[in-house]
Amino acid sequence: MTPLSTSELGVLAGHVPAMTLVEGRRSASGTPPSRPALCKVKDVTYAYPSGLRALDGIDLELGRGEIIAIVGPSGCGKSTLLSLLAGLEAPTSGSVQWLEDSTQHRSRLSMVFQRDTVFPWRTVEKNVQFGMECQDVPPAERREWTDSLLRMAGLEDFRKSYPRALSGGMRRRVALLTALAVRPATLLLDEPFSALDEPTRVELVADVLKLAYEYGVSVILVTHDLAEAISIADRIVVMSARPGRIRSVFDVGFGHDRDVFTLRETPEYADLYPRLWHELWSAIRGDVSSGERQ
Amino acid sequence: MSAQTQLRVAEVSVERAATEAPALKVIRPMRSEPPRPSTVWFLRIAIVVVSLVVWEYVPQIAGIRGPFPVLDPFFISSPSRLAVELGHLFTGSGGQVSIWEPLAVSVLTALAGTIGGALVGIIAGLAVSNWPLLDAVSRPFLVVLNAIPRIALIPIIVLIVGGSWKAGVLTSGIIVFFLIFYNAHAGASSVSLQTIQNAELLGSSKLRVMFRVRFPYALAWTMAQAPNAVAHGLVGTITGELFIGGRGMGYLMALAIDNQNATLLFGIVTVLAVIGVILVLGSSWLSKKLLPWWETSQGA
Repeated sequence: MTPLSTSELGVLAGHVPAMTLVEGRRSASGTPPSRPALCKVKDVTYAYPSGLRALDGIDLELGRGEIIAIVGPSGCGKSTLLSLLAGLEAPTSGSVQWLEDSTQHRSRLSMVFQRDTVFPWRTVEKNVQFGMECQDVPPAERREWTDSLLRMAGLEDFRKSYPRALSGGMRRRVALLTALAVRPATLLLDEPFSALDEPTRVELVADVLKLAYEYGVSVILVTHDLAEAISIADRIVVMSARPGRIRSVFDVGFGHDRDVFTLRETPEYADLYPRLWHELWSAIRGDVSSGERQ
Repeated sequence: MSAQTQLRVAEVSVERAATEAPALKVIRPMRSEPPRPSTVWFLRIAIVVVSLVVWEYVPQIAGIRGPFPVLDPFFISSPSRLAVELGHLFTGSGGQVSIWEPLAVSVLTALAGTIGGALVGIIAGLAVSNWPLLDAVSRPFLVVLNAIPRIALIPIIVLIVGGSWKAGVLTSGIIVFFLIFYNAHAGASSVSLQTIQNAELLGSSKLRVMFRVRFPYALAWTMAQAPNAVAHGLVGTITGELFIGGRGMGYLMALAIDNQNATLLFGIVTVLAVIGVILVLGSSWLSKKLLPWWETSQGA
């Protein structure tokens, strides 16, 4: 992997995945060599009304179709950064710029929250259709798109079920499909699978990867789970303890057609995981950052 | 001790432990068994029968009625007299007025007041939960209004709308409004911030959030209060009729008091109790029909 200073993070959207790590695994349809930027975060600082600084000097660029995972110590501002990207909060200083996307995407972004946001009074199919109803999508198109999403996620037999009848993993799938149903250019995921068991988490990561790849959706995932981050991301951003800064960035070049179920058995994964863990542990202990791109 | 001897000792110990182990004791689960429905119904019916027998025959015992004159059937009537009186009320025989017209007047008045008060209450609760400014401004006024005893408003209502059915509707409507308003407000406010944010990110307007996201919760909380609201609506109507007169059950009660007819009073109370139960069961049925998701989630 090519070392890169954190000051160069602003141009990371067009990075070339580290070939040494996954050579022979990438296919022709894998991660493209460069991506036009979709979102630019410039020198963003965020302080709570109490004055406590949550984020400091964040520079980040998200490329079209790119998947970024953000990891870091608890309370380092990962979820706050996601709120700023979603426009739910405004930065204290700096800017978050979303660039126009003229492709097939209907919405700029949607989000899957850590907390369960599935509407309990709507059936599975009605949940998936909620965003499309808000956007006045014609009923026929709504039904057709819902059918294909439910089929893809293996939920077609539960379309008329209320969420209460679903397992935790199925509810998360419904939340994911609801977010994807509005055809977003970017999907923000705030620790969406943290409450689930390991096999279900891996299955859902595979779902996200498949759907993001299929529909060209860019993804930013906040997670505590390094295995999840490696399984899904093109880049992993490690943040420092509060106030959150970008400490280092890891390129993960497995491509979007990776098999997340067998990925953990590969030597490349075995190589990356301990280095990522060391970096995260250093961040938790507050060690001085190497300031390098890994 | 050699290793072989140690091994032998260990084997003997294991054998002894196995032979001397106490027999396994079956431990009963902590959870107690639910009572059998047949037992429950038997006990319920027994309570009714015993109460009726005591009510009918105990006042006939001179030794008991002497020190307790209140047990005289003149004051508390008796089940046999009540049965005859109910027969007269429903058939309009025995010189008694028919109960059907006053009953229809009271039930319709109570229903109109309850439905009206519930509708206004749910809309107001929703609106206040959806717009924080409205909530902040209106809260002290609502607290003051809620603190006023509703019965004290009846004379004012009569002054304004006159002693007609409108006064009954307004009385029960005001009582139900406050009950429903606070429940609808609490229900609509119980929606998590993330759920609201999610709906907004999916393209929902503020108004759509109110009707599509907050409303189902407000309705669920309202329906949970519906049996109580219906019962209070009926109380409001009867109380209003006692004040106002008119042609409802309250008027019939006033008539019974004037004639010192305890049996008629007990008859009216029995009929009102049955009507109350029917309305409460009806609201529970409606709740199940309107909110299958809520029923499921509560039952799990």
